[in-house]
Amino acid sequence: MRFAYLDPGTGSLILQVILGGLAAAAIFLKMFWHRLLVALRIRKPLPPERSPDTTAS
Amino acid sequence: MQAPDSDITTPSPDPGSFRDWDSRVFSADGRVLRALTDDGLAGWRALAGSRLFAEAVAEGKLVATQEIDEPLPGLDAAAVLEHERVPFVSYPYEWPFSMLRDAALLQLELLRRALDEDLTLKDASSYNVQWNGAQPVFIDVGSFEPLREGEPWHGYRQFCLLFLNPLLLQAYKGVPFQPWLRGSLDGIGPQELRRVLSARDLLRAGVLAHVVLHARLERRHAESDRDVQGDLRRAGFRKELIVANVRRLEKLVRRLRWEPGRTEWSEYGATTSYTEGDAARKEAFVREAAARRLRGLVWDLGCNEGRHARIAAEHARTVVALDADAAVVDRLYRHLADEGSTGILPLVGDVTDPSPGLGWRGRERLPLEARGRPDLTLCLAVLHHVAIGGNVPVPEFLDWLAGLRTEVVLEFPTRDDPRVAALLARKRPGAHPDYDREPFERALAERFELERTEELAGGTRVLYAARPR
Repeated sequence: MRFAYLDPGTGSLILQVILGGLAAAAIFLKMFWHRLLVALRIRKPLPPERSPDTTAS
Repeated sequence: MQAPDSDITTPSPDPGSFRDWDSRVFSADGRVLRALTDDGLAGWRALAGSRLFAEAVAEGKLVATQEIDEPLPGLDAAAVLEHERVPFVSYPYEWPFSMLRDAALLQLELLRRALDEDLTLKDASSYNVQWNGAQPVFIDVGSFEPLREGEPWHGYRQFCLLFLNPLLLQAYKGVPFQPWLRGSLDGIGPQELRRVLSARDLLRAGVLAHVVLHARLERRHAESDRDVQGDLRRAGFRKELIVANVRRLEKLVRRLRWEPGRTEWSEYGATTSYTEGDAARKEAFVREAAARRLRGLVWDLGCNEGRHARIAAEHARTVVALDADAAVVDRLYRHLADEGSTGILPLVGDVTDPSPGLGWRGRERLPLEARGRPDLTLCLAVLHHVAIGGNVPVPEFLDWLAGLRTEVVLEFPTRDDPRVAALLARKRPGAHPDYDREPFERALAERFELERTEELAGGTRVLYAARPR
């Protein structure tokens, strides 16, 4: 993918999905499915070097 | 592309256009040109073939642009565009609230209409909006590019920083955004704005999502190296989500209001100390000076409600109407916008602190006087504010005007004038001994060729028309 000269901001991109409301619920679930399973203790967290975000709860 | 020999001599890069390598602006021989790379050219071709381009240019919302066959000497550009020149460049920190709001609505409208045709805008900077008088015009044709599948809105964050957050700050907190934007060319970040907002503000429209949540996500993912764009695409992000966001933002921005309350000058027109006869004589004096010939650019410093700017506009291509009071400028703008006026550009600015050069090398955003030298400058009921309120010595102020090589219409309110007396009363007794008619006239005559003088019947106001020596 070609990147724009402007940094769109990771948080700002994620927010756009949240702002999508119901229409974006499926997208949000897909993006955070792994974390959800971890939160529900269904799946174990990824090893730290692979974890996309160490602040995950 | 086989191009004919160029007539363009030494294009100079626009000092404010270097961030987007695909599309850079140059000026040559008074023309505004844009050099495109192959990627930039793909964006232009997509835009040029769209319904949006033809319609928005016809509506005056997008700057008139054409591809030209002349190459830019010394530049290996895939294509060169020529833009219509805007009458006077201005910056968001010089706009009153309603101008930034209308510029934001234009940005959103163009994005929504672009998405309709599978185009997008790669950024959302308020500096991409300029003005034909009171009509906003989008100038960054290089912002448009084809929308790629699953791509989010890259400019959303910038839209918040440079449009939405300044508007929310002023609408909800009554804090003017201009000084903040002048100090921070990137705009106001969600985390900064979050700190200014109180618990009560969280209930106001737009705050929870665009500020609070935005600030939290930004903080949380600041160090993240996750490929969110890839994730979004794989998860099925669709342009309908951008459209929905844009529509909600349009609704939010349209409803934002700034209630300035009663400022010192917002009532000035109604409570002015002039008799009707004096006001008419002053107008006639200005009209006589303005009508002598057609001027390209007129500055009206301390324009207030714009009465004299309107007179000057009858005989000028562009009048820049400047006042330090954002409330009166906002009101003037709204009147002009309602009338569909394109000859007067109202701006917020203090004569004693004109916009400086800012950004990279101090040249990305130019000082006020570097953006166009006025042929005629009106300084009506402003000298006492400069000299007594602003403590700028009268000869210094006249030096500055003389340096602009501009004709002038000046009004000198004498020490007996009630407004001058009110300003002097706030100072220690005997302050500003040099503020008097005789030293003023001497200083004026040293720098300008006096053409006409008239003392108003009230006896405390004298008018001068003069041209540079």
